[in-house]
Amino acid sequence: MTLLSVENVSKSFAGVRVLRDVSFDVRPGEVLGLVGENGAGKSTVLSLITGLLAPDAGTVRFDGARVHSGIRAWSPHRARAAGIASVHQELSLNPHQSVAENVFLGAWPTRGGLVRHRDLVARARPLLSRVGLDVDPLTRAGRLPLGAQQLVELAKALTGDPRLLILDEATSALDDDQVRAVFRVVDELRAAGKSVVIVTHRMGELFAVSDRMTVLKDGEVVATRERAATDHDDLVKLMVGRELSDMFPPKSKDTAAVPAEPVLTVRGLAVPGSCAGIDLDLVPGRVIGLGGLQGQGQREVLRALFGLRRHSGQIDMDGRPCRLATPREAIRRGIGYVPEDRKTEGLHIAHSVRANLSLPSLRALAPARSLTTVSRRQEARLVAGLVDSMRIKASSPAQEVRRLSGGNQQKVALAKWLPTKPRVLLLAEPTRGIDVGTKRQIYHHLRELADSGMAVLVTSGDTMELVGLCDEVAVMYEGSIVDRLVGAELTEERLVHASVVGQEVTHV
Amino acid sequence: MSERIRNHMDVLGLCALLAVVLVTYQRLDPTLLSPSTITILSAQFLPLILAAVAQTIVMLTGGVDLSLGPVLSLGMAVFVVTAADGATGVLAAMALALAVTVAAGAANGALVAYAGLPPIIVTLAASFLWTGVTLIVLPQPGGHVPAGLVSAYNLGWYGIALPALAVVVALALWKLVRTTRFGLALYAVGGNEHGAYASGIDTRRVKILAYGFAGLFTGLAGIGLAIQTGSGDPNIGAPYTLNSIAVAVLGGISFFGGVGRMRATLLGALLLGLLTNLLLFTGISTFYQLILQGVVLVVAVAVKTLATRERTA
Repeated sequence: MTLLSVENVSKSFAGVRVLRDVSFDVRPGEVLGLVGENGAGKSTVLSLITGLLAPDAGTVRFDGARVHSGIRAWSPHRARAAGIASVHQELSLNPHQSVAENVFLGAWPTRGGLVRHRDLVARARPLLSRVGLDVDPLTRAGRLPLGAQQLVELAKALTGDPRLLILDEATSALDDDQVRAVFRVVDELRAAGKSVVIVTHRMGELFAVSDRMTVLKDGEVVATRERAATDHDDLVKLMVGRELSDMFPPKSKDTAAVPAEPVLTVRGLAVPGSCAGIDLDLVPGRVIGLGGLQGQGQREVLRALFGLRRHSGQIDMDGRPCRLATPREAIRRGIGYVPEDRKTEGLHIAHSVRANLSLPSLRALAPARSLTTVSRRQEARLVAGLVDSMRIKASSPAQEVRRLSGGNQQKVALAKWLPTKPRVLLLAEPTRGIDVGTKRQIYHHLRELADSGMAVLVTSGDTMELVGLCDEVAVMYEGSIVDRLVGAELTEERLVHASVVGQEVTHV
Repeated sequence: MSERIRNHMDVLGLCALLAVVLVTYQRLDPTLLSPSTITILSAQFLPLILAAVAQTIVMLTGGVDLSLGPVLSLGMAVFVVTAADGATGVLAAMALALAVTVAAGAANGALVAYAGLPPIIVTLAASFLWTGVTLIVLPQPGGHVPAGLVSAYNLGWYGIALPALAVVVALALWKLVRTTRFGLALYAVGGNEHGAYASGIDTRRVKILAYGFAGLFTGLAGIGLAIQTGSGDPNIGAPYTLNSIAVAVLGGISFFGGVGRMRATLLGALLLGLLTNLLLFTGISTFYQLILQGVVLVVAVAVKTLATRERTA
């Protein structure tokens, strides 16, 4: 007997297969853990169940009925009505409305057509206490700390008395007490014959609540195991272990030797609310990675170093203290930044390839001390050189960047810094959403840039990428660096272990 | 601080400012609180108050209504062209005028919700369209408003200030709407549209209803203006577009949607109206009035922005 069954489901985005023949099922009164690395397809599979997406092939059955067939499309609204509730990492709360209003968001109880606040408050109280939240229901949701907001989401999911609860990284912002409250709710649901699907990167949590675990890798189900029949190491092995082949260029040779003088020394860098106590030495010729689960503060480290986030701590360039308060200062000191969100921060997507590539170099392109107009001829020469050396595929330099493929967009976002001869290059998720061939090209470019004397700092949620590309990886967990992996220590197993286990590893 | 007290913080500053203006006003015009002055002032302020209510509803969805002035003129034109003497004649003309303005609002809403067009573009286009339509309905100032209605409205009716009563009824109506599921959904959509959608709210319907209600209040403003002036004018609505935005902003309604309360808009409208009158008393030229109005707006918003920034930091 099953409550939910996913049968041979496949799904592609823009020609890229993200799910291939995925099958698993959830029984009544069961808690199923869904595990896998970032990008393994967990969120996509959950979106099929909650009605945010439809599969290309295969079927999803809930309570025996096919959900993606029939006249009316499966939607969040219908899924909720059928008894499927979900809590996601991204919040769906309205920060400006009260906690009570948010708990019943979209399903406010009325009397005589009117919503009585007294009713809302009275009915929200038991739900809030069920999730272990002691707040005034009239508090505006946006005023609560992130963890409390996530518990409000959980209370909201419980309003319809769901038969299937989906927890997608729902505990990522919670402290230990709050996680225990969530698990208490999960246990209650299980005891009442309801089912739960839980996605979490924290292994400890997974083993604490799941009855079975299904492992996804690269969009396929690798295995489904009973809790008693598996352990941490077994799961990690199932999650990783791909062929590296010639995807990555050889690493810098002097890894073991005495490293060169660092160009940028970071001591005790802190961004309020995101990270603290970050020490980094960026050395010419080396590619350093910042690893860990998503959202452990890696992004903020890069943004701070590029002057986009207010920060504290000691930053020295060539041994002399320097201030990096604005991107302008950072660029003047020879720092380039290829952001995670290339469409808003990295590029002007409605502008031409030419305009994007020449933007950081306008100062150089404007003939000295004359009327500071940009020399079109020099600009064309610069752009042609970059298009050629980076192998950017564009119909012409006048083509709008938004018409390029994701990989070529990323090449433009990277190439634009090169004429400014940066000494430090910061890259966030440099290959996200990019096809394998272009990924390989970007890895080789980055290594060439490092070999030419640049210091490179990369964040990535892709463990294989960090292991294959970097000379050294600092693993972040909840805003701190918990482990540094160099040389033979730099393996996927070690990296994944440090990422999910976090602080424990330093105490061993 | 308790949430119950914090909930009223938003209007404290406005109330204080309003008190200062009222006291000064009372000094210059001791008849301020007499029934006849209240009647005159409320007749004068009613169109702005109702226009600002309409603008606030649209702004709460995260939009802005640039067609408000022209739709106000349209409502006024339809009313004065069709109004006949006698209660039925007047009520029929009101109903027709309101039907037209509600439809104009809902059309904006449908274009925003279903075609996914930016509100600023949709309502800009609508502003030209309805200006033209209004000129067809009423090519030049004129039209007919029953004289008895005009005098009862402007001079008081058995001692009752009808315009003030109309404002109170309109705001009570809004208070009721605000307490329905639609009212809460309006704030939910404005505050986090995707979250509202993912929670099963029909966000399109909410937007169309919101713009429709805005049309209703805009039409009421137009009718009020017609009765106050005793005739129709196809171009009289134009300044109300920007004035209504100014009042809503003064009342702390966010341009990003989902933040702000109607009572603050009401206070903002009273403040702006009284301030303008006050400057008339002092005999300062209207040029300086406009300059002062701009300064007041920027200072008010700046103070609020700085105060909020401090709290979140």
